[in-house]
Parts: sequence; C-alpha cells; structure tokens
Amino acid sequence: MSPVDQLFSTNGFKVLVAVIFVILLFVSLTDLVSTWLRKPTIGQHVNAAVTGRWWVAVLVMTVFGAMIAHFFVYITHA
Amino acid sequence: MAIHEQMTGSGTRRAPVHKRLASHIQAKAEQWRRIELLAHLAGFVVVAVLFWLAVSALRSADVNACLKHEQLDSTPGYFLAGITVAGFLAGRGVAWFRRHVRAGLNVAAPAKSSTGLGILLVLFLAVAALLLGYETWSVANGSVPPPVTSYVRCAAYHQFPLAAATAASIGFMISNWLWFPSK
Repeated sequence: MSPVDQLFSTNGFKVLVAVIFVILLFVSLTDLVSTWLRKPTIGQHVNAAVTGRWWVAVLVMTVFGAMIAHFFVYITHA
Repeated sequence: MAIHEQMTGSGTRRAPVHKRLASHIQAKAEQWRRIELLAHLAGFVVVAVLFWLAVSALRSADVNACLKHEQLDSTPGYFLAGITVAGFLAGRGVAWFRRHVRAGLNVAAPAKSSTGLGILLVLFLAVAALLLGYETWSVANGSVPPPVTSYVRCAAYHQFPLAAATAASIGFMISNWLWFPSK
C-alpha cells in the first residue's frame, strides 16, 4: 500500500460530490427559472459576455478538453 | 426577423432541412416552450437524483477500493471521455432548439453581459482556483494527501454509471453555455 492509498478520505469524496452537484443543481435550476420567466438563457448571457472576446471561449474549451483527457484517459493512474 | 417570416411568399426556393425545422420551431414556439419546460424540469430532477445517488454511494464508500488502482483496466476511462463528448454535442443540439424557441417568442438576447453573471463567474473561478491550489500543493508534496485528480479518477472508475451520467450532464451544460448559437 502506498502513502497515497492510505490517505484517501471519505471527506475528500464528500467535497468532490458537493462541488460538482451544487454547481450542476444551481445552473439547472437557474436555467429552468429563466425559461419559465421567458428570460434569456444562461447560454445567451454567456454569449453576450464572450461576444468580441472569442478567445475566452476557446480558452475554456481547451481547459475542458484537457480535463476530460486528464481525468478519464489516464483513469487508472494514481 | 424570424426565419418563418423570411420564407413566406411564392417562388421561394425550398429551404434546407435545418432552416425548415427552425421555421417550424419558431412558428410553434409556444407549444415547444412547454416541451422545453418539461424537459428542463426532467433534467433538474435527473441531476437531483444523481446527487442523491452520489450521496448514497458516499455512505457505503470504501476508500480502500482506490488501492492498487494502476493494475486496473483503463478502458472505462475512454468510454467516460466519449460519453462526456457525446453530452457536449447533445447540448449543442438542444441549445440550437432553445435558441429558435426564443426567437419564436421574441425573447431578446442580452446586449451585454450582466453584473450577476460576472459575480457568479468570479465565484466559480474562485472555487476552481482553490481546487487547483490544493492540487498543486498536493502534487508538490508527493501526492500526500492525494490530489483532486486521484479522487476523481477513483470515484469515476468505481462508480462508472453515476460518473458517466454526471460527466454527460457536465458536457451538456457546458456546451449549452459556451456553444449556444448566436444566430
């Protein structure tokens, strides 16, 4: 057993679940309410924010793609 | 101007399928909005159920499952990456549909970014910076305690269906934000 294996804690997994799902639930609810109230979607707001700053979207997409590969392609690495 | 308005009049050439579909959505925007709302509600319920499943999995989690992770088969990781990308592409398709529902309802797109969105973005980036800071400290310290990456990989491997559904949801939402069609 390596030191890394010994130090995994349930609290670490709790933080992981909390961060992921608080964001997902918040975004999902916000989009639902904006649709209900006939307001622009989050996507339209982000669109307005990155119009003229397309490089922001490119940067975020690059980070997103890198994270998918980093987390999942090497999933069995410690 | 809505697409269905552009296509009226005799002698108009038959428009491509996507334009005809967009025209149909815009013409019946009120009906499609109800379907969109229902789908949204279903999506929210799905995320809530995933959260409940994740909390249940936490209760019975055995952190020793992360032992000898390097000896496992890495194939599920490729599936997870593919599922995330599939969710991302699906999100773009749904964003296209939602954009035309809004065009049919004459909901104007915001002309500039809102302050509220800016504050939320700052909060989001602050959390991301905090996690990245922890990751850096952990890696610099010889992965003791384990970095966020190790937690994600272990959880994703041992809770594959839950991880796949969550990863697809994240891909879906990100493309709904960043790949929302502007015209």
